[in-house]
Amino acid sequence: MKSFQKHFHLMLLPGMALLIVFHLVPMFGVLIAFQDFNIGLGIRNSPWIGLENFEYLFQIRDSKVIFYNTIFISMGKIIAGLVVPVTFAILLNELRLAAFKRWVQTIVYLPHFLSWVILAGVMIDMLSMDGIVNNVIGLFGGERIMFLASNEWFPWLIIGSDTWKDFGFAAIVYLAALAGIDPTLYEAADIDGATRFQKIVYITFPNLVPTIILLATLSIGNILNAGFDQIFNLYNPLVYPSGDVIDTYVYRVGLVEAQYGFATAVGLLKSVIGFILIVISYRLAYRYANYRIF
Amino acid sequence: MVQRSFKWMTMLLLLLSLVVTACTGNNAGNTEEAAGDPAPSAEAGGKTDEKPAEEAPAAEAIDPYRMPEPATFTTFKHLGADAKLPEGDTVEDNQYTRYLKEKANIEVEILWYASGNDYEQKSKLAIGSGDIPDVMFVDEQTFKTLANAGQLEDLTEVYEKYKAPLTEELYASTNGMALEKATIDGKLLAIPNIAVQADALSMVWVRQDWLDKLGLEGPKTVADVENIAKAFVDNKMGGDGTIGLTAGTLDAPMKAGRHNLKGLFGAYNAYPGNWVRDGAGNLAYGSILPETKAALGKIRDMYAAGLIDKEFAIRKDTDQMVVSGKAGMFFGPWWSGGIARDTYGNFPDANFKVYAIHDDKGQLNNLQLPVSSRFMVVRKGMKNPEAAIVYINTYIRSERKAEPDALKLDATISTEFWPIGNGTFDYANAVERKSDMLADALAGKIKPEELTPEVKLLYDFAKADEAAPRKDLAGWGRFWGYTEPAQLLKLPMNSLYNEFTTTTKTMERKWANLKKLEEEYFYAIVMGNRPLDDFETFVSEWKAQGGDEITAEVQAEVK
Repeated sequence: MKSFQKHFHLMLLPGMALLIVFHLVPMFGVLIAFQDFNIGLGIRNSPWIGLENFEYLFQIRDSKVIFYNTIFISMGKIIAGLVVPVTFAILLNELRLAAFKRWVQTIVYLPHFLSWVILAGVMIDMLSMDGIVNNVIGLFGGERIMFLASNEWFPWLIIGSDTWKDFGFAAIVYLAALAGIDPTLYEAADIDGATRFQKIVYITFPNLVPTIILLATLSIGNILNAGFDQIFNLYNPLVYPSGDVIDTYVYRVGLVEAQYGFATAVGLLKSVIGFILIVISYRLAYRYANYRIF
Repeated sequence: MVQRSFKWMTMLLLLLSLVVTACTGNNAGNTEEAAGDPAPSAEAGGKTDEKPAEEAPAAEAIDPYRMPEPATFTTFKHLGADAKLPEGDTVEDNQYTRYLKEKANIEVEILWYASGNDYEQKSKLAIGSGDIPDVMFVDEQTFKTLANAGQLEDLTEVYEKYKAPLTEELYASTNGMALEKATIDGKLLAIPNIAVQADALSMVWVRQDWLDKLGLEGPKTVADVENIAKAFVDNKMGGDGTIGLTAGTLDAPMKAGRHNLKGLFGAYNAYPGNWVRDGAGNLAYGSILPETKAALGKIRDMYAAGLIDKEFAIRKDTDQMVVSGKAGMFFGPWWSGGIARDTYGNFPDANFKVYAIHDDKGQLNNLQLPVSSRFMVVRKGMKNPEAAIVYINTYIRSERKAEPDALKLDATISTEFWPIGNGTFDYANAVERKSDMLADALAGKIKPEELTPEVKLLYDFAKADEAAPRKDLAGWGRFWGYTEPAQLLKLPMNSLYNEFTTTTKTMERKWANLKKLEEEYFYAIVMGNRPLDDFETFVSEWKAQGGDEITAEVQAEVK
């Protein structure tokens, strides 16, 4: 028994090595969040300033905006990212033509595999003043809208496009859950004379609820990740008020403007909050969906 | 129990491996040093290697191009990802390193090289951990940081002693400003590069064929630009959705970029994003000055009238608007011919001409580049700092082809392969010089054989184009920048500098937010989301959020 376990532990080695080299060792870098970091002096010699970076973070107007944007956008993504795939999975489940069903499924999960660099290019083309969307609006006599420069539209575009990109892929989990539903339930319902809609409401949906709760609670841990790639590829200074999130801000402040200490402080704060949220969501997932790792 | 002991074992193993790699790393470094230093003395037949340095002053004539004894120093360097060497050559051993060894008696040990971001990160890490090589190129901010941290060797004496006449001549072309930039508290702490000023002037590129069709003159003032843009748009010269003038960022970078409106700002004496003198002669941040407000007001009006690209703020590829024949005008530096060339590929009848935009007093304002932006620094305590000067003398002489053997070097091999890498050391007016030479050759005043290899190449392309106009568009793109656009560089102009190009204490903390504030306001004002008078709100917010503090620091530092 003991020697049997040894092999398993040995198999952990490469993973642990990666974890240590790429995740634990770089952790020392967070020290610069508490320093007046100077590349000439380095981490070892830069003066310590305690929590000054964090104090400054709470003083500036921008921090409220970026935290608000981050939470707003990721909440929107989480909600839409639950509702849409579930609805889609249920509707797809009702299709009787197996070939058509597979075809639809393949088509909708394709965008998941494209990067935001490509998709953003497509979106910019579609949403430009003479793009297809505005052409349709123009056809009906509407006013052309500069979507990507509008603070009213931008967060919704981010949420909408993210949902569009991933709902097909997310639906796979639900389709798997649907496949696991005991068919005798449906047969019994048929005998009772239930309509299709009634079967969805009373059988299909309740059976999906544990999966929905699980995925919802787990997504809480990601609430501060509003999606760097996507926003970075789509935004511009005009939509900073509605689209600048923690990650894009840290990128600009830290890498572009070289305020390493401050950017690290922002990132560290995000990580700490994210960590707390992950612990909470893990607890919730354990309690409500009986999901656990340890 | 088993689990726990295993955890420890893995940790131990990993720690061990880390320690081992760290040690080998150090050992390698030590052996390098050990091997590097005694070698020259051994070759010198038992002399210690400090002697040459002591002997040097006693010697009658100093050869600025050759070390009396073989010298070695270490460096690390940037190498572009696409830089290529002929078969068999390596970064450590190529035509430049061999040339250097032969001419200057210098060998450079390259500790490591990397490209792009990797280089940035790796070098910052090395500098941050105090692990700097004997000689390297750094940017201005890093130079200042290192200088203030007392890590740099004072080069004042060795430069005076070893400078070559050509080196001196190049520095003289900057009126001594370059060396001044590298001098801190009376000590020369670096060898600065010399920027080619041609990249500073933002000119307006106009579709001449459209102008001709409409019977219009080329633009001289902002009002002309406006009228021409209006004519282009009204007459739908590029079809529906014609763009009169393209736009990009709303600032005036020192290096003129394509599509930014530096040239237009300049016509209002406005230099957003730079530290310039205000009306009272005090150093101030250009973005908050009334001139910038006036310029923004004009851009705003043109935007509202549909003369500027409606979507400029969200365009990812503005070049495409020109190349696809939709846009009639764009601002850009002398080398912007590339997109003119691509436009010609699509529209054989298209034709571009360049114009300079003057202010209402008829003056052409040009915010110049910093005389130097790259600095060759020498680590404090380096054995023979004069080797660095000899190196740079040799590099400059070879780059400027002032030595016959330098002509034998294959010019197609990137100068990045010089051991310490690429730094521009040229006359501040190098583009004008080359364009004059090319013009003289084309006019038959100089024999083509007398041209420098660089200009000869341009001459050949120009001749080929003369014989078959626009047959070879790639070739056209290579030489054309040196003709009409380069001639504009010789116009009389009011040249000024951004007088502060590094950062201050408060800037480190607050600049990103001020920058964001500025961008938000500027775009909103230009695109009509805010009234023009909100500029005043921006100014007061900017000042309150740290701008005043920073201005005071900058003024104190420049004085």
